[in-house]
Amino acid sequence: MPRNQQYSISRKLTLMNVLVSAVALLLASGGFCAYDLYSFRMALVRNVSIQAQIIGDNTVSALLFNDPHSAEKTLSALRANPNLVYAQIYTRDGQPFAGYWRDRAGETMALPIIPTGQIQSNWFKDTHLGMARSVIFQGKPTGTVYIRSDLEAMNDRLRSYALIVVAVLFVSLLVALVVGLVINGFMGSLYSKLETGNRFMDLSVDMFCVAGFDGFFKNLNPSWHRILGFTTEELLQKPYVEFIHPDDRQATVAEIGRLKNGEADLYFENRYLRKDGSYKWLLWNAVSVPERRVIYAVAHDITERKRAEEALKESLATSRAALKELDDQKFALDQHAIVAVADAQGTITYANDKFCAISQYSKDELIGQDHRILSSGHHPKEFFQQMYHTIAKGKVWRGEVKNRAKDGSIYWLDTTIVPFVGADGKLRQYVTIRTDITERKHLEETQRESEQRLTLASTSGEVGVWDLDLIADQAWRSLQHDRIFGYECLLPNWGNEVFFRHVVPEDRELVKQRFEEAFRTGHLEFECRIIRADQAMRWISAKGEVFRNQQGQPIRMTGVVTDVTQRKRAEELLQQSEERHRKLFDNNPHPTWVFDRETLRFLAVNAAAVRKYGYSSDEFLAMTIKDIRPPENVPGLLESVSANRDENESAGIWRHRRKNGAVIDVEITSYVLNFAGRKAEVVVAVDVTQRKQDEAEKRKFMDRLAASNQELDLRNREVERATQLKSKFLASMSHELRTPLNAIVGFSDLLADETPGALNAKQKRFVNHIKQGSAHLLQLINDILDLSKIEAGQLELRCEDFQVKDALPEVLSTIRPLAMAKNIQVHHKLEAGRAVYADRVRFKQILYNLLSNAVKFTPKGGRIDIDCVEKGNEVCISVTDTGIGIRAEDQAVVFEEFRQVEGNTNTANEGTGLGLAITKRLVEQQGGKISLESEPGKGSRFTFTLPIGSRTSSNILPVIETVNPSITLSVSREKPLIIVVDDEVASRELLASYLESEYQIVMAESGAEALQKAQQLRPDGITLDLLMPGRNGFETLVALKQTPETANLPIIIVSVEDQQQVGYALGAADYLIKPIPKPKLLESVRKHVLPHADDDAALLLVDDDPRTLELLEATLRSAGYETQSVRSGARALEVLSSKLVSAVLLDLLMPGMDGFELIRHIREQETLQTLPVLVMTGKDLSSEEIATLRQTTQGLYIKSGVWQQQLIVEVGRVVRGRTRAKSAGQL
Amino acid sequence: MKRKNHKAPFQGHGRSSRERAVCLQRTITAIVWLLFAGSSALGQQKPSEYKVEAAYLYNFGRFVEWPAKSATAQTDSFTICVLGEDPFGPALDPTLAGEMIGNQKVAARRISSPHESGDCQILFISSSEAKRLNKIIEALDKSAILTVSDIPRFSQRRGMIEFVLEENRIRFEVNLIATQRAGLTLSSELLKVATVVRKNPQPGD
Repeated sequence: MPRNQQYSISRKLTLMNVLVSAVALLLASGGFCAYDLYSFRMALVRNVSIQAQIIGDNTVSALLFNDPHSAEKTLSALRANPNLVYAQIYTRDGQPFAGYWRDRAGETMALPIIPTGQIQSNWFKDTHLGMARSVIFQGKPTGTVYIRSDLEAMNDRLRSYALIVVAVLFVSLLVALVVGLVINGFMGSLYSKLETGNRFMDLSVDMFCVAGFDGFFKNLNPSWHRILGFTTEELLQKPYVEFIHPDDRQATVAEIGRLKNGEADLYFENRYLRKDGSYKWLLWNAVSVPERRVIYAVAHDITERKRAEEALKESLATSRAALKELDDQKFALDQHAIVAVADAQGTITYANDKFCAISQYSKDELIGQDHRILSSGHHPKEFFQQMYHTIAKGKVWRGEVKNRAKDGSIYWLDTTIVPFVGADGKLRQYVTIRTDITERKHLEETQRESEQRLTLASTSGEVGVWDLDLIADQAWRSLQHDRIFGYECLLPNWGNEVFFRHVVPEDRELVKQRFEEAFRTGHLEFECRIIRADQAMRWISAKGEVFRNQQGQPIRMTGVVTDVTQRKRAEELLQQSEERHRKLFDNNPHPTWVFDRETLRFLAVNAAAVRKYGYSSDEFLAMTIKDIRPPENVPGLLESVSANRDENESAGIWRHRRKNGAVIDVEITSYVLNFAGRKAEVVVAVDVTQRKQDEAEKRKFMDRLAASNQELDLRNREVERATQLKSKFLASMSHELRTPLNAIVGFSDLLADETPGALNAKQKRFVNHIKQGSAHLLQLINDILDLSKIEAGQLELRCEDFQVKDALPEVLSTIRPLAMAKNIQVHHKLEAGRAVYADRVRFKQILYNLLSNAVKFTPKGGRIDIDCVEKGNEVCISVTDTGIGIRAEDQAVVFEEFRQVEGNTNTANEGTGLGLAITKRLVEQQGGKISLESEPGKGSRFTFTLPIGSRTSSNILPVIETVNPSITLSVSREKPLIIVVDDEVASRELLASYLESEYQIVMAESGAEALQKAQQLRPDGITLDLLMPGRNGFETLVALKQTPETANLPIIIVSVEDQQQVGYALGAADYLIKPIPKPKLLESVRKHVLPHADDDAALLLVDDDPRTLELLEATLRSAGYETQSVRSGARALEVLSSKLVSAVLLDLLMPGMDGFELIRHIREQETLQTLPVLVMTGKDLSSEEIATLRQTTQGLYIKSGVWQQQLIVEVGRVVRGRTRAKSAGQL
Repeated sequence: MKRKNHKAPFQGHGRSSRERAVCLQRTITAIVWLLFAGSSALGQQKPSEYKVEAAYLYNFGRFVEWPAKSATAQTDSFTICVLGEDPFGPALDPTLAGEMIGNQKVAARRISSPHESGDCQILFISSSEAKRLNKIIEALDKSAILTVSDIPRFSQRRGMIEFVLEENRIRFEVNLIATQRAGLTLSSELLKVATVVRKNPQPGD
């Protein structure tokens, strides 16, 4: 910054401000203009390009179809843009095609060249913009457009920009000038205020002053007086330099000089005199205002801080000295000891030279490493654990540590570890100070070894030394010598005589001999037993040398003696144990031997081996183990031996050969041992020949057992299959037999009814014979099938608790007509509450059989009694008749099959002879018994028992009654049935009389009764009164609509109330208001209650048997139904898919697709889900099958007995139900 | 009547009776033609004009949209058929060689009967067929085929595009009623350059 003292700061600021603003403005305007012009040009290009493109697109067809007139029309649209001077279209060959001139037609430009690969190019010339663009149509160049635009718009813009810039510059300069002047005035007033003092200054704790360049203070705030003690006047009178500490005066003057020279603001410190003569340290911050020739300054009293700094400096000096001392100590320590520092993790952070020297690692190698690299492995883990434990607690640890140097040499250190704990109480680092004590340790070790040796010698080396003068028979001995002989100290005398006294008498001779030998050979060596002084027997061993004189006479003998008792004892023990082992080996009952592993030669054999194998012991020892094998086993043996070379134990079963050539199986257990210095194997061989034979036999037996089991299994399966076949046979038999019989019965019925035409008397009689015969045959077949079912165990009983009283009426209703025909009275004495546990249907069959039998064999005017009594856990039911009776000899066979009592010519053809047999079995199957008492001529009594049932049990109706061939509930009727519901009798009667002529009428006087009757009778319609006691009409209507059986019934409300909307909403078919004329009622009922078989859709009959089909056709057609017959399930499906059918009547057993499958197919199709399906079958059905059919079909008939009439009724029911459902659906 | 869809029906030894009839008819036409050829030959156009027409035939293809469901829309070739005597001579094939419309390759085919036009997008009806024109138009009824011809008054006789000579330049007239009937959509660009556009009278027309 230039130093300019002529101008004040504010003026300079103003000037600068103006200059900078002007330059910035100029730059900004210039930049903006440049940018705007550039973007304007871009926009122009874009604009013209778009226009060229539009022109091109709009002239494609003109170009293609060579219509320049049309192109020129398109071009003339360019007139809208006044800047476009000229436009031209060229054909693909570059020929001008059409043109446009703004002013007047001028010259035509040659085709401009567009660079290849681009579709347009443009260029600016001094006065215009040229633009050429290819016309592309469907990816193919079709021609070129050229457009030229002038730049007038751009020039206009440029001119206006220049004007704006000049104006802006002028205005901003004006504003800057005004602002500068204002600021100047404000600053001047601010300064003069400062110099004359103001309240802010007075309030400040710090010392404010205004000092003149002349060396005097101009203004001071009260803090001066407070801090220095001088009054303001005193301070103002003298030049301020005089108050400054002489030492600081020069520096201060220099600072002031710098301030005067215009340096902005300065910081400095100096000392100021106080009135009491002391000095205060002041920190100055000053700024000069040269144009006013004053300095503004603020001083802050920093005396306290200065004092603190001094104190700090002093204490620093002290601690530095202490540190130096510490360093010296450390140096001294380093010189003496091995020092290392490690952090909490044990990583070395410092190691001194001595440490490096002894460990042979360099510092670099050590630092950062763990102390463990020095571990010698000498100390146990616990040693270091204890060490670290101590250190971690912050305690000093001391001990001797054996370490390993880098070269592997070992050294000992006396170690002190000093831990340093940080402020947080955790180990921060530790210092290890060590002294090399390897030398001392070495010495210690040497010393310990010699001590050990000494101790060893004193305890085990009991060698006594002796020197015997043979001439004087006097011996010098060591102390040990005499100790061996049991003396605590040396005996006064020792010689041969004394010695021999100690030797046990048995050994004396031997010792003497040894001595004599020694005199000859010069060497003495013997072992003998002695009796010590304490009377203990000990073994000693003595050795000596004989010395002779010049004549060769032995004169002296010297030697040693040792107590060898312990060794001798050990030897003895060894011998004993060997003896024992030997005995174990020899007396082992199993052949045992030892063989050499290398040569395979026998080394020892025991007696058992000799016995078992037949070789003598000597023969064995001459053989190898190969010789006791059958030759074919030898290679295996060698392999096994070499394989087991490294194992100590092995086991297995081998074949061995005895001397006599017999081969035996032996189980071998062997283990390796050292036998007389050789590697050998001891082998124990157990003869398992017998065991193996036993095993083989057992295995054979097991195999046989398995084979017979398998055979048994196979036969079982055969039996099972046979049983299955049997039941299948039964099922198909029942079907096959019943089907043709059905045809016979059915057609004879039709004939007898004269449906096909009138018969003459003879024909009628014949037909009746056929009818009777076939009915009898049918009964017989049913009985046979029943019997075979029982025999085959196929009879399914559905036992339940029920009251005998309840089951009886049904049987009686069948029996009574028969009885009445013969004028037989049927009586029964039954109490309420006699309950049995049995199959209800079978129970009735039993009773029926007995009763029909009774009727059959009782002459006209007779009597039958039924009785029922409880006997313990059973109920006894008896049927007594006053018939012809049964002879005693016949009573036994009467329950057998096909047995009829002979001599009853007139009844012989009535029964099948199976009834009683079936009855007996049925009773027995249900856990009862049947018995017979009879007196010929007087009558018979059949009694059967059944388990007693629970009386309280409910009366559950059986699932299906197969005795009764149909399950239909409808009553047969010609006219449609109407239920008239009304609580008033008169009203009811009136309605009934109106309808009687055309309809069958049932009346109900309450809603509940109506519901019950509707479910029972399945009427064709209901007329319903609304106002009734109890359940009213609407409630009844709802209940009827909610019950599936009656939901589709047309219900006509006949009431005095007018609530038609409610009635229709609840599903009423019609709503009539009383009083009502007859024609109106009839009309409504006729409309809604549909007559029988009014559906023109045919019934589809499905059966593989053509006769049955014909029978069904004849029956149903006679009732007025259309039918169509097909003979297979597949065909039935075809018909169903193509034709509307009102119901399907089908057989279950058919080749190919059977009835079940057909039903499934029908139900799978959405449109056929509600199609009524009726099943007719001769098949015996299982309960599951019946359950399935109940779910999927509307009716089920067993083809036996009379069914035609019921079939017609049932067909009528389902067909009507369907029609009704359809018409309801249409509503 | 079933349309034949195969492009080049193989004609074996035994011709059907109808084909024989066509053949006979064609022979008779040729004889009659020869008899009256003298005067009409003067009215023939110059070859260069046919060259232009050939190019126009192709260009029409680029401005017309065929219904997407038409049989020809799915094939990969765009067929321009010439019914009757080919007036283009050698001009047509080189003009169309290598050209594409959309992604269909353009090819020319000569046919002798409108029944062979099953795979044609554009059918040029030669002036040799002028006498049978009504039958041809009838046979093509509602087929999505653009019919083009230089037969006079073609566009007034339910033809779609008729070439006309105006100031020595080939121009064309368009019958929009016919094109709409056939389900074809003509670009407004095309209509712009047509000399006459015939269409159903509309409100304001």
